[in-house]
Amino acid sequence: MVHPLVGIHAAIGELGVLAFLWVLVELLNPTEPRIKRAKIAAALGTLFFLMSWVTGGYYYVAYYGPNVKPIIKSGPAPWAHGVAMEVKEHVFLFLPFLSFLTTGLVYRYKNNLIKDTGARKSVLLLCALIVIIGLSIAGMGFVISTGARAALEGKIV
Amino acid sequence: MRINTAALSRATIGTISAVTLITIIAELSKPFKTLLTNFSGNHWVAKSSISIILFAVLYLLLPKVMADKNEVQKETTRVIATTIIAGFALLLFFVWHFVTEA
Repeated sequence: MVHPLVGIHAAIGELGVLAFLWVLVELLNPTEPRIKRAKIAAALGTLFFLMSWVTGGYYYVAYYGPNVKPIIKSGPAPWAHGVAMEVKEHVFLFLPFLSFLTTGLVYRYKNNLIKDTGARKSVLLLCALIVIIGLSIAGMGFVISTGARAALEGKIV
Repeated sequence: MRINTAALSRATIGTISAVTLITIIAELSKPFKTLLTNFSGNHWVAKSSISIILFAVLYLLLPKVMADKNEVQKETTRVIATTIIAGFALLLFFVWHFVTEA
């Protein structure tokens, strides 16, 4: 049976990605109300990544390592663990710190983001980077699930 | 409290670089990976804990040795470049590691 924590971890991570996409959209053409919303979205995004870190970490240590990893490694796509999972679990560690930095910039510059194009471009680029990394991680999650499914199908057939 | 963006950027760069280096060294050196595992029961949990501690220490210490020059674009470019290089370094390393181990 699929462990529910994997879905919870993925959903919370995607909410984090969506929160930073929200920050990006608000700051494309910022006004005071939009910056107010961007501050809320950035704080929420950081919180979601921290929650995803804890839930994903618990799932990885308590369930994935002892149960799923050996199945994938014995299946037809061992690279799903050897490459995709290894890259995913380590690149994920970049996200909470990038989100801390982005949130820090939004809270530091506040309404100055309207006139300070340098600071605004910086926040926009960081948001785009977070969204790209987050979506790549979700894609790697799909590859890992496919690796596990392929291994289980091989055992049934 | 005013947020020091230079220290925040440098702490992010330092943490991302350290995570990448520790990960690669741990895969190449069994004793180092064992040391990480003994630290907290799992090497990934150890890397997570180290990254949090390092980020906090760097952010608290860096303002004592460097001023916040308000060069936000320059600092952000450095962070983005470090993240992209570190991400590709991990990808290429694990592809190489998987191919040579198989």
